Amino acid sequence: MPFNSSTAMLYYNKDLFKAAGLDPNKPPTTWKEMEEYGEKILASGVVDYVYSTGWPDWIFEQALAIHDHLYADNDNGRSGLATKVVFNDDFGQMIIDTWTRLHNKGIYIFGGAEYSANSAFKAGQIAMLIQSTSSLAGILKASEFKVGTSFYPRFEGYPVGNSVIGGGSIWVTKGQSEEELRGVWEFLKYTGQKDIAIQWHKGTGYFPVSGAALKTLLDEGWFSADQAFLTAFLQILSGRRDTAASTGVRLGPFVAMREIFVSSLEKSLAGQLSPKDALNEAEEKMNLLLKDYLELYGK
Amino acid sequence: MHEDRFPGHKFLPYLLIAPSIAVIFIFLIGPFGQSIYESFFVSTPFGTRTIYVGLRNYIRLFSSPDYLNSVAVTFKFAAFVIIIGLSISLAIAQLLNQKIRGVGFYQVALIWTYAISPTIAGVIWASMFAPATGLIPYIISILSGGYKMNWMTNGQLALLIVSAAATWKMLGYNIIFFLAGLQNVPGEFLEAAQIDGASPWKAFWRITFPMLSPTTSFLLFVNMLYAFFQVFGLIDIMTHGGPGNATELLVYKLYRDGFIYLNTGFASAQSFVIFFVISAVAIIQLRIVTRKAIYFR
Repeated sequence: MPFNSSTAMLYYNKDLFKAAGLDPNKPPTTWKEMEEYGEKILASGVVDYVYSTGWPDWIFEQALAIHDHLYADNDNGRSGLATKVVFNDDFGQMIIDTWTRLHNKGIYIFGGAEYSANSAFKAGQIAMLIQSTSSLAGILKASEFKVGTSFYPRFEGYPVGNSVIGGGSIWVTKGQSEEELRGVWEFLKYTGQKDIAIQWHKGTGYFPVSGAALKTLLDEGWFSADQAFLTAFLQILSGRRDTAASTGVRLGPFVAMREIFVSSLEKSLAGQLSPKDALNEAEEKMNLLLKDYLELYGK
Repeated sequence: MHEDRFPGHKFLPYLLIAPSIAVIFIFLIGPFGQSIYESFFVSTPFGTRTIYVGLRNYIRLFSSPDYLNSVAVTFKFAAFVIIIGLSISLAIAQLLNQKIRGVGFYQVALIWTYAISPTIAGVIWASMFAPATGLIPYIISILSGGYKMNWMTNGQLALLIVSAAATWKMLGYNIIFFLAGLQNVPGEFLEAAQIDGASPWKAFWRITFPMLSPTTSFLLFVNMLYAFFQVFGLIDIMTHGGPGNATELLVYKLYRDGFIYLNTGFASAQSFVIFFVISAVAIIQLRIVTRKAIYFR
């Protein structure tokens, strides 16, 4: 059952934008603007670095999905087990080139896995953060500046897809006793309650799990009181939901594949490998994993 | 011989050691045998399907640049922890082994690091060096006029910091043992050396250091095991083996392959290789060091 669903969006520090002479109501919408804004913010000297991200692997997947680009073959592994990854083309190359360039310019600071980049944003050490929408409440609470949220930046001129859902869902394993299943069912009903869903959304930024909860939030004026919470909904609703590329991947060895991507990105940022070699390395290792998976689970 | 010690009880000795043997078999030999067996297979996480692949896991292991990198990283790390760690510990123990005021306070202050859990130690070091918010990069940036120190994108630096954290964590333990060792060095010897006109430096290297050799050899061994096996928590908290694979020690790689990627065959092959390497190093060390150690009394 879905429970904590999120997606990735752009957070920015409006006070720092103002201090750097930028319009606090005009966050960057493209990667080109990320670079231009980044240069301006760096030149103004208000911060040492401009932006960071959480979950680098997931942020990369977002960049593909939001432009309706597949990650792996067989419709991202949805119409059959995937046999190879397909992101290592001009487009994928452009993503990693861009990030590496921004890193070398000092605009992007690599923030490590998961949520470790959040502290730099909350402390006002960086002006922008690309992170899960689930961090919103925490960031608003801890930040002593005006926080703006906006859509995940795009590459201009490429197709429209959608940002993919992250977070988690609740799974029930087979073979439990009747009594335990009854307990599980009570728990699932509890998490699905309207009040609980609203509380969960307000306390984190995750999407509320039911339509009833969403309507109540809308009716009570939650989204007009703080527009920052609306961004995630609009981003998802304004994208496509009818293509495999825009709805996420289904890959057996995905956990390992993600870590391979992160370590390749790290090598590219550190200058240990060229962006091209880094992506080639990731592709080669991931394809081997997919092949092994196919051998074990295929047929 | 046995009859002499336990007259009339032929099987008693075997009965007495049976519990230990059972524990060793159930918890060490059994799983060890199983992992050797599994290293020739690939299997699904719950073993619902297994395929015999012969030596493929081993061949992949030794042809994998990541694994060879992991071996190199582990040896660098272990060398740092053992050589730098033991040198600093000995120096500190020597300083603590003096009659000065408040020595008890200094002893506790230097030893308590051992009592911290690896998780807490990892968090402390990681936040100290956090690129954008940490204290150390901030100080370095001020002192150097703007140098941006970022261990999250600098593999060599990350390895150095992780090694330093691991060394720091082990200091307390080493100091306790060195201190105990130093206190066992008979004062008459040092006094005699002093009367004969030996400098403190010379007395240390000619008398104290050789007399410490049982302690040193013990600590060498313990620190080696520590560096190879017990730094998992620190790595997991601080770097996850990154950036790139710069801090991916052998045990950490094994953990990732076995428990995160659920590739048990590949991980089993790794555990067998680690076992082999460690045994070889341990045997060499025990042979050389214990033969040369001086036992007083």
